[in-house]
Amino acid sequence: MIGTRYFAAAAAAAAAAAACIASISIANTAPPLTQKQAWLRGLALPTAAAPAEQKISRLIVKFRDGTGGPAAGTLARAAQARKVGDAAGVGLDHVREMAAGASLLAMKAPLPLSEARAAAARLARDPSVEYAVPDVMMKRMAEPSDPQYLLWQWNLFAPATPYNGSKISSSAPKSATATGGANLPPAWDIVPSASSVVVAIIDTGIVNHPDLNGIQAPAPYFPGGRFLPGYDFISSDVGASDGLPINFVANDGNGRDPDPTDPGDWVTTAEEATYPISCDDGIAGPQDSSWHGTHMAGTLGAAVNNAAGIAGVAWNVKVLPLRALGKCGGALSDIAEAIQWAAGLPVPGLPLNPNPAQVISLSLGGGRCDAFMQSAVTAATNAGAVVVAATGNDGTIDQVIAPADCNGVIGVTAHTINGENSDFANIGAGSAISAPGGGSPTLLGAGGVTDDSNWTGYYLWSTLLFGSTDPNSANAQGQTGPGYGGFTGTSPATPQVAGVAALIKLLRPETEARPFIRPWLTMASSVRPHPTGGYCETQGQDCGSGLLDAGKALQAAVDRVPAVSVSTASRIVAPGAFVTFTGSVTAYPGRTAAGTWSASGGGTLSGTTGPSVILTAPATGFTTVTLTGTDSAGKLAFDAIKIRINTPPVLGPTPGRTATVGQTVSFTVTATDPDGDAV
Amino acid sequence: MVLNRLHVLLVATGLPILTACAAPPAGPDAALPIAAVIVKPRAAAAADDVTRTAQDRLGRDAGVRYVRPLAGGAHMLYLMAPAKREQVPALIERLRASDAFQYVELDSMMKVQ
Repeated sequence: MIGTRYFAAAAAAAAAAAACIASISIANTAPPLTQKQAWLRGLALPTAAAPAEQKISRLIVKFRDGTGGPAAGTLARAAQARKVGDAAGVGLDHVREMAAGASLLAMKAPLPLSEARAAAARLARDPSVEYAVPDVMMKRMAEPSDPQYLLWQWNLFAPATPYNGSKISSSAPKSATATGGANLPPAWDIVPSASSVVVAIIDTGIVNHPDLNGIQAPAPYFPGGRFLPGYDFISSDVGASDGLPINFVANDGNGRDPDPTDPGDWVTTAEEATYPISCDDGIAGPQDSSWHGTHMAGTLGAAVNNAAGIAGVAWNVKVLPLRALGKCGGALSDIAEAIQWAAGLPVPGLPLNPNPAQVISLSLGGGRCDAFMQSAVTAATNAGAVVVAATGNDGTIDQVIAPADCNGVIGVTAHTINGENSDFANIGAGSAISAPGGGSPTLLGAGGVTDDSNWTGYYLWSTLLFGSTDPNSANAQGQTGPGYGGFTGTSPATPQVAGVAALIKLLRPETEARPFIRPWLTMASSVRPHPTGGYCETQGQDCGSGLLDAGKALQAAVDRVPAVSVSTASRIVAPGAFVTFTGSVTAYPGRTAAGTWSASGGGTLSGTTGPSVILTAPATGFTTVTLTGTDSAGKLAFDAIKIRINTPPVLGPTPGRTATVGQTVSFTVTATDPDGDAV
Repeated sequence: MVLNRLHVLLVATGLPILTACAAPPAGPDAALPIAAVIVKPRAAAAADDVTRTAQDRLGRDAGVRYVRPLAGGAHMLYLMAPAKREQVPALIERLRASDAFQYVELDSMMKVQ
């Protein structure tokens, strides 16, 4: 279990940098009141105040009766606006015609966003209205001021940000650049302040943490701020067929219940020896509690501008913590049912989820996608959820694990601070995108020399407890309570992608945008290319479309660019092979779009238009086939696949030999590779 | 002791306890499942019917115990003695060969990444 090994490494590094870890502990700060303490003192419960709703003064409406614009006649359009507005109980004045046939209409009086959405929904029920949405104010938000964000969270930085363990330090040399950063600052600049999107984190559960729900650890978890109640999906009998005792995996004394508190998932040496099939991670010694779900939740949605800790990717969404992993892992059945419950679907014996998630983040996995998991994912995506999952930490090139390899899931591989694919990260079919996952510290500085003495650029930093076992325990350094720590893996990469998907959902909540969330996030024009000279760029493997770039993804959503996708059966082909590429271009509702194929790097295409083309591969090298979609509003997007032309090794001459029956004959065989590959 | 725990669990879930009828327990571990499998009938089916169908398919080679219904119309079953763990893949293939089931999958373990 590589993830645990990397966490063990994180713990070792944390020990080596104990002073640094101690300096980020928030255990010495005055703890906020618990719910119980506040109630007993007659004070307001310590939940975050609901954010003030944005006031909306205009609606964007597309009428069905033509393309609008000047041809429709401004006076006629104004009369039509007044008519449908009156019918919907909202006074409307025509402001101007917009691209793609929409009209910008002003309301007589500004409404809070929720009421404006309701008014738009009433308008959309009119047969003459194709769609109606509030003209949301793109509120510019300052980059978070959280101290650990400014110091350590290279994974969120713009890619040109110098990084030496302290982005804001001016005295130390800055030999590293966070070229692998997910570029959140420009995305935060344009994302609305609404908190209407729910993201489910299906993991080991969650603990109280001042940077999450605003409540001091230890357990039990209490919903607060933007953190919702959640659920514990771990059945009592997980692992029974492997000999695990009842409630061993659950580790909280019972099966499914409404309490998603993470009681800890530590494994003793004796337990490893007793249950090797389920629990032996291949590393001698006990396994400390990971607080994995709490780390993922912080990466996704930690509070910002609270003068403490880190910044979450999507710090203005609601987080639904679901517990499906315990000691030694979790059952496929529990995880698959948690996915469905998260999406608002029925699960036998459980109440319906009152807060259905629009995004589901899965930093877990194992095996290959089977029918039950596929049916769960399909049901969730059909219900409108975006499902994001880690590709796994085995370092393989063709073994993306389930559920990342299921159809419809956005599989997330990982890269380091310099954008290179992390050595532990699985790649191959099912890798949709790469996000920061850490690793490779020797790449931080020239010649392997790093000015990052605490290895902060090696890890992704987020919320944790210090304890080694239960929430009240201490670690080997005597630290206890809430703090921060570093993980590497495709696990922490995953909630970053989920978070950006949630930001897109915030920006474009309308139903029409649903099929566009994934392409806006993952198509080639929405990501940054894999670094030149790196593994993914030179080896022709499928590492996903590129590096997560929140700024580009959100801009695609702002522009409502067409959704473009390209696929092909194989990425490594023989010289002269005929390679079929299939693609699609889908315009945003109200627009039209067309696609054009092109190839760079050699070879010839059978055409430039149509749903598929055939490339005649060149003799050697790489060829990139691109489909560019351009819509009627002048917005363009593209997707691309790079294939490698590879010639098999050539055997050297072997001289003829004469031998008698029964004689042993030895040959020396030589081979060379025309492409220069190792043989 | 383990048998008692499992018995309590099944009672607590309110589900019928459908034990294997094909063969007597083979030893002290006979009450432990050798595998948890997820089956999806092609048509909606009651717990008794799902269990009986699986048991008929496996005959006396393995016991079948109903565990609980799952989301999406699937069900969880335990495969029991006298079958042994190494026979699980073959047993699953036999269940998959039944026209009654849309799919049959092992309830495997997943890990944090």
